Amino acid sequence: MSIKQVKESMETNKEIEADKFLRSLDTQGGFEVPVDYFEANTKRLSAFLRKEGPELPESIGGFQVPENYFENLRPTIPVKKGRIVRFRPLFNVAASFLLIGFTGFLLIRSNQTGSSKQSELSSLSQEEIINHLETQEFSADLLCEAGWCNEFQLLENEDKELNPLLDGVSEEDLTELING
Amino acid sequence: MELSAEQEKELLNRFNTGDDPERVFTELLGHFQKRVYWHIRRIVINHEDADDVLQNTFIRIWEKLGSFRGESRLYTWIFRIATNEALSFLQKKQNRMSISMDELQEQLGDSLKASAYFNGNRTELVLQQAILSLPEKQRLVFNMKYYEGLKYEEMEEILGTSVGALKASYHLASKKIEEFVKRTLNS
Repeated sequence: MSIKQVKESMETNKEIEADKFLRSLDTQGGFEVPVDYFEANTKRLSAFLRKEGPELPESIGGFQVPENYFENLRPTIPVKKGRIVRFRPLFNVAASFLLIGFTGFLLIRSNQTGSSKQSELSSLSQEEIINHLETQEFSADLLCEAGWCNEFQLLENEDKELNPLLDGVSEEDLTELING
Repeated sequence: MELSAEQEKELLNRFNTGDDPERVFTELLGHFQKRVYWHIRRIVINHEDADDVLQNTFIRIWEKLGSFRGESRLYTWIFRIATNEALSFLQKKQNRMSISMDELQEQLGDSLKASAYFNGNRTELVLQQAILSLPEKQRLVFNMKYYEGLKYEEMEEILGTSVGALKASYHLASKKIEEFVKRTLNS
């Protein structure tokens, strides 16, 4: 028997000696688990891993929900899709300032040019007029005729003053800047 | 059923390269969950607590198994996670109750009498209370050696404590338990 084996044997004897009394105790029973606990646990964990998630009770702490509430749950608030509006620099500002005056002008002009035109224009909604303004270039002549020559001139000059600053900035960057 | 080192490697390989890791993991669960449960249960004592810790342990294993490098045996890695989860659970419980660990362990010993999942006779109850009177580390070492039959080398890998220190802890723990049991049963 080698020294190592003798040492190991002595160690084992020490261990046996250490818990000899405990192993001689007349113990019965001990810890238990609920029936089929391990089988249920395997199913529960497998379901979790497969992203099925545990089934939630229909009632928690006295609070209840209508039958099949969660199954039938749908968002009731319509989700509005974001709309990217492409602005030309300062055009929207101009449109805001000129909208009232221009609308008034159209009405006055239509009064002067006949009742049929007036009835056609009056049938336009405000939204349609705004859409028109957003998509159409202003006619300088038309605005001057409406008495907005000076204002239009000023606006054009302001645009020109700002233009060098905006040179080289892409339309996407401007849109992003405006949309915040 | 205990897996050999080769079987562990094969299982890991299937987990990492196969197309159904959930199935491989369920297999792993079948191999280890009972041993891991009893390891946890002897630390936290209550079944409900052991159940919680077991879930957390296997979820943690699921999350980390892919990054397991195989530097140690798989089962020692699993036991290390389970031990950490169980000890951390006890620590949180102790903080929540604002009591010392010794007081908590005493309470756990008392709770055994009323537990629906403990049916030991008086000697078994006294033995468990004696184990619960040990300092945390000694209790851990004693359970792993006496009940789980782990080798000191395996315990060294799980607990990160030297074999010599583990032997000393076990010897000391056995003597303390012996004294506690003799004193209590004779009184």
